[in-house]
Amino acid sequence: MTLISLALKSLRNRWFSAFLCVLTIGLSTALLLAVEHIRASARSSFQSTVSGTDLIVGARTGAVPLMLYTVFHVGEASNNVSWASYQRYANLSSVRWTIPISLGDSYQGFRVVGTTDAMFAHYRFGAKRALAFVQGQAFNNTDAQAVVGSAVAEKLGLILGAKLAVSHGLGNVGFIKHAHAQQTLVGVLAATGTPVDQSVFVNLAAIESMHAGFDGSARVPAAKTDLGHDHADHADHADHNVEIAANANVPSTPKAITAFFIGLKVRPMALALQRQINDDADEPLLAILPTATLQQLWRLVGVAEQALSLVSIAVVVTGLLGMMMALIATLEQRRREMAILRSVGARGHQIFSLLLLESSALTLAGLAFGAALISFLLALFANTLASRYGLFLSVHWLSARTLLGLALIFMVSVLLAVLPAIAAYRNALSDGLSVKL
Amino acid sequence: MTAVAIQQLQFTWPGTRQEGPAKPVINIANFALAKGEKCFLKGASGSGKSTLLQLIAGVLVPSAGEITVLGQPLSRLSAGKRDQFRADHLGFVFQLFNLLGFLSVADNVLLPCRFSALRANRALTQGTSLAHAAVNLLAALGLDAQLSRQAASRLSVGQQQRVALARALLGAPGLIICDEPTSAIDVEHRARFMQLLLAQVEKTGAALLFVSHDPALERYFDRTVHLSEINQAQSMHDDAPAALPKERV
Repeated sequence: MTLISLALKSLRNRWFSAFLCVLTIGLSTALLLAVEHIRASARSSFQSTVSGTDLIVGARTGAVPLMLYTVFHVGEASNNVSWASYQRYANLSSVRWTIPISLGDSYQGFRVVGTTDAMFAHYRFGAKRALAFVQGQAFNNTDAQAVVGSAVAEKLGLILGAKLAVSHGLGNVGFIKHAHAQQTLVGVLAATGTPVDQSVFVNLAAIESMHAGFDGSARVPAAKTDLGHDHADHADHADHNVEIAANANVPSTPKAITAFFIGLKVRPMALALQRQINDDADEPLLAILPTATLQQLWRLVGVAEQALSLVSIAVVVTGLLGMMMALIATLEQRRREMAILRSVGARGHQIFSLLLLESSALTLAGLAFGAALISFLLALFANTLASRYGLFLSVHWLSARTLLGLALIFMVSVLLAVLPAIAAYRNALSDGLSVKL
Repeated sequence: MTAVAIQQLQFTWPGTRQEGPAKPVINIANFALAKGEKCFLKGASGSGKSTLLQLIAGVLVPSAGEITVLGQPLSRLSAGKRDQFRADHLGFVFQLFNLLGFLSVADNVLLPCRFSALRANRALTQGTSLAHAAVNLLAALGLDAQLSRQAASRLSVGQQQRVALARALLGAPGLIICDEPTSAIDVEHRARFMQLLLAQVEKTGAALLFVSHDPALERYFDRTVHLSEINQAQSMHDDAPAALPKERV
C-alpha cells in the first residue's frame, strides 16, 4: 500500500515520461487488439462467406477451384453442368432447395450471376443471414431483370429502373454488349462483406435468351453460359443482332449451368449425396462441402493473417522495451531517492518492488488506455466498416483470447521490468545511504 | 545500556585488493555512545565517516568486530531485520538532498512511519493522527502548517534540513545520526538549526551522533571525538599493532 502510493507519486513526478510510456503501450495495445479483433472477425466472416448450403456442385475440378469460382468469383469454370443433371439432383426427395448459377458474363467489370429467385430465398451467409434488400426486391423468373450487390450499386451509382447492358465475357469492358437484352434493375442488396456485394444477379432464363442465337440458332442456346467462347463467336455475334432482338425477352430453358448450390432436408445426408454426385455415371461432377473447403482455403489465406499478428506483437514488445528503457534511464537520477528510502528503513526487496510496481502501473494504465481507445474507435467506425466494406466488427472486442493477450502483455512487462528493478536493487545496496551527487 | 557500542570493529571494502591483502578503512577498537548522550564526531572528509555511519546504520556489515545499537548486536540480525531495526530506532539527517521532492513535506516527515509500525505508534502519541503529529513537530521546528502540504522540492535548503530533522525525530527513535546537516545552511540559520536539534533530542531523550568537520559546532555537545584518533585504519599499513584509542568512554 505504502509502496504503491510511493510508486504512483514518483511516477507523477516524472509525468511526462510516464505519459509517453502509457501512450506507447496504449497505442501498441490498441493496435494488437484491433488486429486480433479484425482477424477474428475476418476469419469468421470468411468461413461463413456461404453458410446454410450443404453442397456445391460443379463440373469435375478441384474442390478449391470450385469454391473459388462459385462463391468467390475468382477464376473460371472449365466446364458446365448439364441442365439434365441439375434437374436430376434438384428433384431428389432429400433436397430441400437448389440454386442454379450461371457465370461468364460481366457488367462494367462486375461478375454477372445468372440465377433464379431461389438465390434470394435460400442463399445464406454469415450466421445464416439471408440476402436483404436495401431497395426494391428480387427479380421474377421470367423478365429481364437484375439485382445488384451493394458495392456494385455504390460504385456505379445505380438506381432502381436502370438498364444494365450485360457484356459477354469477363473483360473489364466487354466489347460485345448484349445491347438488345438490357436488364432492368429491380433490387439492390445490403452489404454482406462477401463477394455477393460485387455481383450482378440476373434472371437465368433471361441470360439464356440473350445468349440465344450466338451460334446462329435460338434452338441451341445453352452452352453459352460457359466462359470458353472465343473470338470467332464474337465475330458472328454481330450478324445476329437483328435476329436476336425478336426473342430477347423470351424465357428459355438453359441447356447447362455453371454450378448449383444444394440445401438438404436432412443435413447428415450431405456426405452420402456428395458421394453419389461424385460417382455420377452420366456426367463428371464434383460436390463439395462448403465449410470444409472454406477451412482449407483459409489455411492458404491465413499466412498473411499470421504475419499481421506477428507485426502487431512486435509493436507491443517495442512499446514495452521503450518503457523498460525509460525506467533504466531514470535510475541514475534516482539513486538519491533510493538512498533516502533505504535510510528510513526500506529494504532491498522493497526497492525492487517499487520498480516493478511502477512498471505495472504504467502497463496497466497503457492497457486501459489501449482498451478504451479500441472501444471508442469500434463504437465510432463499426457501422461505417459494415456498410462500406462489409466488415462486420462486433463492438465487443473483449474475448477470452484478447483477455489472454492483455494478461500476456502485462506479464511480459513485469518480466521486462525485472531488469531495471534488479539494477535499482543493486544500486541501492551498494550505495547504502550515501550517494555522491 | 549504551546507544552505540563498538568493539574491535574492522571494515574492509570488498574487492579493493590491488596489491597484497585489502586494507581496512575502519579499525576501531572501542567506542561507545551513552543513551541520551550528544556526541560530536569530528573528522575530515575521507576519514571513513560515512562508512562508520553506514556500519552503525546496519547498511554495511563489519568485516570483524561487533556493533551494538540500543542493546541490539547488529551481527545477529539478518539484512532485512537490520533494515527494520533502522526504520524502528534510527533517525538520519544528511548534508543535502534529504527529501523526496515529489512528496509533500508532511509525507516526507511520515516516511519512516510507513516502514515502521513502531515509529508510527509512537508518533501517534505526539498528535491525534500521524499527519497531526507531523504538523506538530514541524511547528516545533518553526515550519508552519501550510508548508506541510507543499511539495518538498519547493522549500529552501534551510527549510528542507528542518523537515529532514522532523523526519528523523518523528516517532522518537533512540538514536539520531546527523552527517554534516548544517554545512549547506548559512551561519544564522545554522545556530537556529542546532538549537532546535538539541532541544528536540533532549525532549525525546535520544542519543545524538553528530558528524562534522566544523569546529564551531563543538560547543553544543557533551563530548567531542576525533575520528582520526579512534580509527586506527590509517596506521595499519605495516600490520602495526593497533594503538589504544586516545579518547575513551
